[in-house]
Amino acid sequence: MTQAGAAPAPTQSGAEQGGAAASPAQRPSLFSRARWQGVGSALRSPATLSLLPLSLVLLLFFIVPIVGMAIIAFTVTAEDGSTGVGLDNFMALTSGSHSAAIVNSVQVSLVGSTIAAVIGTLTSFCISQIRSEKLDSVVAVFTSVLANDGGAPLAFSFIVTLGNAGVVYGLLNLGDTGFSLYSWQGLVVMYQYFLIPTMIMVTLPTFVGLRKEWREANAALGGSAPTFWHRVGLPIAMPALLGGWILCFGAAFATHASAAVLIGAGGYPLIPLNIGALLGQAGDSQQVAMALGVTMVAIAVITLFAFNRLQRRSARWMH
Amino acid sequence: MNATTPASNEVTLEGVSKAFGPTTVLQDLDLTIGAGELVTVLGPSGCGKTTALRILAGFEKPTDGRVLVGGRELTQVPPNRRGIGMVFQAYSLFPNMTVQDNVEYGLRVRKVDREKRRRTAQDMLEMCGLGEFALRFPAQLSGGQQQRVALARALATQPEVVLLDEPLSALDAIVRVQIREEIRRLQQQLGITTMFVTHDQEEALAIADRVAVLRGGVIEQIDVPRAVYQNPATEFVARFVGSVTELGAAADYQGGRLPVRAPGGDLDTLFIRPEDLTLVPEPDGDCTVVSQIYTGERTTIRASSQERDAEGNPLELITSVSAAEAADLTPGTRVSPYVMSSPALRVTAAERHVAEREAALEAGEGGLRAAGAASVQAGAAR
Repeated sequence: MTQAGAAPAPTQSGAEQGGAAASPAQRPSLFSRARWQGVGSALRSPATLSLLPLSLVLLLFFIVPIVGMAIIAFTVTAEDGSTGVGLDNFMALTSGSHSAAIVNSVQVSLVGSTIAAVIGTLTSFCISQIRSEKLDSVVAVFTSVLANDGGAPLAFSFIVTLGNAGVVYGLLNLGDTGFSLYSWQGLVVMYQYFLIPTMIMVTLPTFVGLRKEWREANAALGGSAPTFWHRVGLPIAMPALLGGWILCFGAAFATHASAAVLIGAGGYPLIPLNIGALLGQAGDSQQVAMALGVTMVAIAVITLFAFNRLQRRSARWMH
Repeated sequence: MNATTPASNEVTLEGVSKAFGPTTVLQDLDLTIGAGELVTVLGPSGCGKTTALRILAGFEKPTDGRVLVGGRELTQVPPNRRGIGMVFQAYSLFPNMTVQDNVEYGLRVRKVDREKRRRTAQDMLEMCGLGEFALRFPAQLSGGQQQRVALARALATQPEVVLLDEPLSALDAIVRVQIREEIRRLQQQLGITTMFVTHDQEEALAIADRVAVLRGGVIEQIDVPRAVYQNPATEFVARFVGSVTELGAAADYQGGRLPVRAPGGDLDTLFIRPEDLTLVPEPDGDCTVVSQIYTGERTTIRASSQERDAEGNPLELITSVSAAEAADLTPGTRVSPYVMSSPALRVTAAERHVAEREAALEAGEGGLRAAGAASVQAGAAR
């Protein structure tokens, strides 16, 4: 692929030159001329009109806010009131509560999503072993509902069960273990409520899709169960597992309402909480909030990019 | 791999029974496949043929009975230690591996070194006509190519026994015949003991050294293809393998013009193959030609008579003629049947009465065994 930017292969027809029909082996790289020519000719087609509504939504609710946020984040107000471009707002994130918020957000999301990935994977594996289509579809409905659950009601339901006066907290004497719902462990536990269903939702179809024939072919060829998982099962499931894990990371990372209810302001800084707090203050704090927002978007984009790479890896053989 | 005597890969199922809960799938099944022999197991869906194959492969444990390969008992041996190659109906290739890696899989599991693995896999792929596809992924191949790869993969470990579970049923007609012939060629070339399960009777006859016809978990007949077709042991085999005309005949009938009568009463039942039945145009013939179906080399003629069987349906006669002969047998022509050689099967009235009584008794016992029990009764009970 090192020379992917070169002219299209001579076997391609003249009209198709530009790489729109290139085979996977000779697919042009992201920045090649051939690729953009292909995009150009696709955009000239009347079918492009059908993209209009989606483009409009993207523009108004995604691109405009991000650009606006970025502009404010990079705008620096001098003491005499004049404005210029600079990184001062980002410098403010390198210390104190905001740097703690970035570290905390990443930590809580990483730990929370890792636990959910492990539990969710095992759960959906077990569900797939039952081999009941009915169960699979019931699970699909429940997990998609629970995966989108959250917000203040979730925080309140955890407060009445696992809070300091909570029912389960009392029953299990969790006070003796030093566990507190109002800490980062509390957040991790609460996040499991929607992260585990997210993980099950993403991975169950993959496990259900592992064919009995593959397992039996492995056995007939002399392979043991560990051989199957090592060479066939896990390689096939891996893109979905990693993808689900990253999705969970993103979901945990962006959670605001339930964390706000549980932690409140200042107790344990997280990026969304700090943005919320900054927006309520006067002065140039709004610019710092936007800088935090841009940081958050950057982390989310990196996550999604990784997700996309993994998806493409699985698509290589799943035609 | 192992230096073995030729007889060492004889396969035996001995008194094998299998029940899933209350449902008996196989009953006391005895089946021996000689070394280097190809036996097709033929039967309608639900007859237990796939279960028999899965018991041999080790994917199912028999409720009763023993599985032996080369005299060695394998009944309790897990499938991955049996060294039996297997080809599934479809979609059994590992999708995350190239064709080459799929074929190498069994060797990799056996820790064969890389160089030898490559070479064996290449040889296998060449042998199956797939040399140029080594680096493709299964999803980039057609169904027929995939099954060829599955075959190459099963053969790469040089197994002494190969099981094929309806390997062609997902393919279209032309590819089916091609691969069927390839399987037979490779099997004979390598001398592999083979069990081939199918529900397609033409396929079963075409590829086999011997055909085992299975019904209700019991082998109705096992014999060379010609015998199964020309001398079916039971009414079921006569009906299931090939087309057949069923007519009643007096006990002293020995051939020639046959008055059309329904089986039953004191009449024997004749099961006549199309090529043994001739329909001769006669103004006072008992039957009328209903249809001609042109199939190229031969034309199938169907005729029906005023006579009705026990269920009130008109008796139907089937024969096959050359295109020239078909000209005299246009629909509407009155014809009489002549049986030119001895019928495939003759069930005497006495035999039928015995079977009817047995069937009634078994029905009284309410046993599930009725489904699989002796030959003649089912036809008689109809």
